[in-house]
Amino acid sequence: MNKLRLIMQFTYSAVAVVASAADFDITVTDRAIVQRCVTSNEARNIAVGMPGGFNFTFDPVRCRLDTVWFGEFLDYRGEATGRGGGKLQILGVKQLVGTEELPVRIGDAEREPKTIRFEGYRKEPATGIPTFLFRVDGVAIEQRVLSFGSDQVTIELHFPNDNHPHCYYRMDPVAVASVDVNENLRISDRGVMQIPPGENWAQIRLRLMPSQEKFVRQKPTTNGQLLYALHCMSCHTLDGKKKIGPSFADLWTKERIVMRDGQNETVVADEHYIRESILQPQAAIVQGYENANRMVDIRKTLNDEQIDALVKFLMQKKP
Amino acid sequence: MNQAKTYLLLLCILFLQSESHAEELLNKLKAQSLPTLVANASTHGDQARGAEIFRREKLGCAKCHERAEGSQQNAIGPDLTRIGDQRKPSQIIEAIIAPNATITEGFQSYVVLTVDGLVVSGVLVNQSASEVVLAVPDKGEVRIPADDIEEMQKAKSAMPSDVLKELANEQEFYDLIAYLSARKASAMGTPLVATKNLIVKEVPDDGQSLPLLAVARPDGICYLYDPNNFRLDSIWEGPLGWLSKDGRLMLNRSSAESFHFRDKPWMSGVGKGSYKFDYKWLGYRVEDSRVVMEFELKGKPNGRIWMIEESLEIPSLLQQRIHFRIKHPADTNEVLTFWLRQTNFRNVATNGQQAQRNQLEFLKPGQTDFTVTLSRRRSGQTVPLGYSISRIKGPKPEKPFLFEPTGFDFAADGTTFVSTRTGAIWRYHDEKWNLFADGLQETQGVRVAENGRDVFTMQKPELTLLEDTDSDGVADVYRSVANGFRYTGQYHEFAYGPVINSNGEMFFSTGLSSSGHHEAKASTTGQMSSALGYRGWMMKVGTDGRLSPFAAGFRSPAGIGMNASDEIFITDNQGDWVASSYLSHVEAGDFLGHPATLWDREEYGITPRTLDYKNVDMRVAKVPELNEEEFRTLRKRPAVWLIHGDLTNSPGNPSFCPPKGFGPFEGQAFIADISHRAIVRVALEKVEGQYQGAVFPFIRPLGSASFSTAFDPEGRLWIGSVGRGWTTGDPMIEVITFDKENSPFEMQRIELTESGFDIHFTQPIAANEIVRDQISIKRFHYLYWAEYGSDRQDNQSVAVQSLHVSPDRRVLSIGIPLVRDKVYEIDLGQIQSASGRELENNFAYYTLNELLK
Repeated sequence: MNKLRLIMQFTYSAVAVVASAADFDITVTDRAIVQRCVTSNEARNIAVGMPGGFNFTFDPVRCRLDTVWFGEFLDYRGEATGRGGGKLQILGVKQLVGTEELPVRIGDAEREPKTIRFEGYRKEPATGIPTFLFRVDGVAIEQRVLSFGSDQVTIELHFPNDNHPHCYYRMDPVAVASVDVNENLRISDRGVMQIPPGENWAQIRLRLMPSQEKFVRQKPTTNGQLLYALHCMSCHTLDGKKKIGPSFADLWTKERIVMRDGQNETVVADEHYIRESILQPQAAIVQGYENANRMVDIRKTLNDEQIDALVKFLMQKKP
Repeated sequence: MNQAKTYLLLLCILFLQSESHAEELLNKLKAQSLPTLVANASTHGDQARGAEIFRREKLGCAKCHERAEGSQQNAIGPDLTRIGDQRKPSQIIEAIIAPNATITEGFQSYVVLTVDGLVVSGVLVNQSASEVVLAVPDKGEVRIPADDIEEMQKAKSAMPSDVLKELANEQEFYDLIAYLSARKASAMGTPLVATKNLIVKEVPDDGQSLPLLAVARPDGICYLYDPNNFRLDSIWEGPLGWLSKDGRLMLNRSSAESFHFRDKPWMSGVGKGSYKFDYKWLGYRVEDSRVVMEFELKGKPNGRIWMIEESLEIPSLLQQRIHFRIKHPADTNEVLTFWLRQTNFRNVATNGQQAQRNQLEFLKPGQTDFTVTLSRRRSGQTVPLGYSISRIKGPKPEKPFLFEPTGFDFAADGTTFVSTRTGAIWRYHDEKWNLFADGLQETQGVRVAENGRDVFTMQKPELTLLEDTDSDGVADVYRSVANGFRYTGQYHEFAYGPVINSNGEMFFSTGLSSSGHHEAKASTTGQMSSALGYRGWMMKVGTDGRLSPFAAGFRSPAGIGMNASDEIFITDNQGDWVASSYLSHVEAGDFLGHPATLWDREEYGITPRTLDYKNVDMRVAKVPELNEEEFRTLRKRPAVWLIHGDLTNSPGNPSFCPPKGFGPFEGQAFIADISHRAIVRVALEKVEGQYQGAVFPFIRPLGSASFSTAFDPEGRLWIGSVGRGWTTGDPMIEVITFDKENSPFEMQRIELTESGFDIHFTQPIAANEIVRDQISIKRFHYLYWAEYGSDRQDNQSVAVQSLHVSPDRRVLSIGIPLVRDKVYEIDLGQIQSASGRELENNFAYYTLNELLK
């Protein structure tokens, strides 16, 4: 050791560090980002964020363009915190895109497919832009979704085998401002585009209805009942049944025995107690739960306003 | 946030340039050789002046290096009262000049950043799955719940390097060294050791009305009882303490182990109507070379009096029995409750009844003899001889992603692939990391494809093949291989795998939902539920690519593994219908026990064989009731229980030891556990055509919440630790390497015989006679029921009928009565190898499903 170096000794200093929502954002820069995640009821959706602020989700179960939004991409908090697996929030306003539930039809535009098989996606090395690969009734189809301007979405379909039967793509033309297809193809007034055998290329250009809403970062819910269901229900019942933690039945204004600093004491479940139990779950442990799984630190997920709402909800749970 | 916090943390442990004075003195000292400094200290140093310097307020040596008289508080730095015995003067000099060069075990400093943004820095006193305890100068012990910890980093030595700044000159340095070198036990006073008879000393404790009772036994074991709180305090081996010239006793508590009892642990009754007692200390007496404590409990509401006599039996430092003799008041049948905490021990057993799992014991009405048997874990780290642990630095993913390794696989060209919890596959080649694939959803496993370039991974929605078509080390095609199982988005719907057999068939496992769908038993607590659609199943992908259901009955099958014979094994996690974590062999058609998975079986006609868009939203209004009698018979018993509490709480995947590279355990399963931060080893054998066998502790503890395991081609065991979930830790990769120059001394395996067990050792055991009493065998079973886990049922000692050592001294045959459907806990006590090595991992659990016929 050539030089004596000193260590700055911190004994016990408090420094506030506040996490902002943006800390968990997946930010799109110069390449497209593909992220499988739960954003809606279709848990298998694939979210794609394109440079320039165009984002969409592709539903691999029905092989359709599901949701489109312009703005930022995703808030990844639900996956990166706690036990993970939470829903991710999209950072924009969803716009109607008009694709039918099962847009691709083979042979007969009115008949639902027998099989839809999602086969994955290819990412273009330079740009990261995905091409989705799937088969509907055995016909191989490749699909890209692009945008060349605000409120504009282009769906590209490619048929690697020219020798395919009549294929159809179904849209709801009323849902969008305009639909346009490439020149050798046609789309009916009812929004059915036909791709005859021999055509291996189709392009659907949509002009979306401009969004009436402006995106504001979604305020976390302050519905106490909902917060209970999302964050408490898996461990605490409302009906007195014993789960991982004590039930909330018979809580408000009732007495219970807790262990605090190694001593048993009887407390009345008043607002102060309920708030303490949420914020410092280990401070006073209800008798019988000394060795239960530790409660997660709810402050990691809920803000002050939400905690107030939760406390209020629990105070209303009168016996 | 993470960046800001990391930055902050870095600041906290940042080195600063020293002031010039200290540097000047240091340079002066460093200009001389170490032997010169030692010589100078011994010829010019003055002990008396050194003692004054040591206690100088400004310098503050004593503040950290001496336990205050009568204080129970842990010291911040190593106790230096006998440093002269422990270190050579040259080592003392080095420790002052460069405190970080060697840090005494148990005195590593950590900086902890809490989720609230608090920074706590101190010496690590204790770290468990639930909390971290730091000794902070001037503050004492600060306990930080694990869930509150955002980050934790090793800091440099807590010893300030500016010690030298406070020294006036070189002479003072020599004085200090002379003083410290002379601090030897011989100078502290006379060690107090019991030779023939028990010694009981009353030791005053600050702020307590009654003195503590310190007991030394002729066998060298000492313990301390606290009559103010009516509980045993701690136990240790060695002198009771040192007697100074004026007759004061300084207790030798530096290696003491706590009893972890609560102050005043008695209560009347359980639940409603229970009340606390007033305690009255009556005194103690010595009887049959045991100290018997006497006190009374007075019921506050009724004035009834219970008389208690408490004494301690000490079979060894690792096992103690506490005997209570109770005289009940005549006019009541009230039961007494005694508070116990299981988690600090390997096992806690009593002759009372369990009121709550792992916490309270209550006595039967009128029970007069109550015994608590505590089995302790060895302190310190257990690593079998020949094995060493190193770390591999992981990559730094872009935020908000993390690097939490959930699986490893190794390509023929030396590339390692690692799957991570936030959905990425990393490639590690020539000590460089690159991101191979990203944007996946909770990948839990990775397997290199036959071409050595592509990779299979299991993510929540599907089994995926990641193809690197242009061989640039980055996947460009994400091919969906199998997705014909339901995934509703509930967080607990984990999916693990795949494993691939030599035919190219692939297998993966799916976890049940923790809520939201159909429960197997509506009335019970916290049941896992099935969305129907092969949750809680093992699925098979045939060589034709077709997905088919393979085996059912899993709850949270967090690990899947395959041995060299293409046999598939699974670990499941304790919960409803799963009494304890287990390892099981899985064959086609098996049902491993969780009934919520049964509705997917063909016979119910609910779940289609093929799941696609047409039935993705399938909801069933009602599921048929399951017949418990039927599914009890259907159930395949786990091959080996992994013993929740003692050995595992949340096990990851089993990895099977290759023939070469990892020592004498070929074919055995190695499993990491998140909560215990430990590795266990399982040796299986086939009895009546089905696997059963023994689980042994192997390494404990590891650096963090260990979860995933894999053997690389050299036979090194890679271990991935996840950073969040049920327990907090630092995500990391640890690698266990075996040095083949060494041979561990372990129980290699346990074989069932017709009359007991043959225990095979890796080395011959010592020739001295094995005493029957040192071997303790117990047997118990678990309940198969809807509740969350099961305690040991009917846990009883089994008398050893015969002992026989094979001529080569490698096999110990134990004769005992055998009963099927039991777990046998086999504790060998102190056994040595022929070369004099002690058997550290001296216990095992054998799951006896079937007897030899």
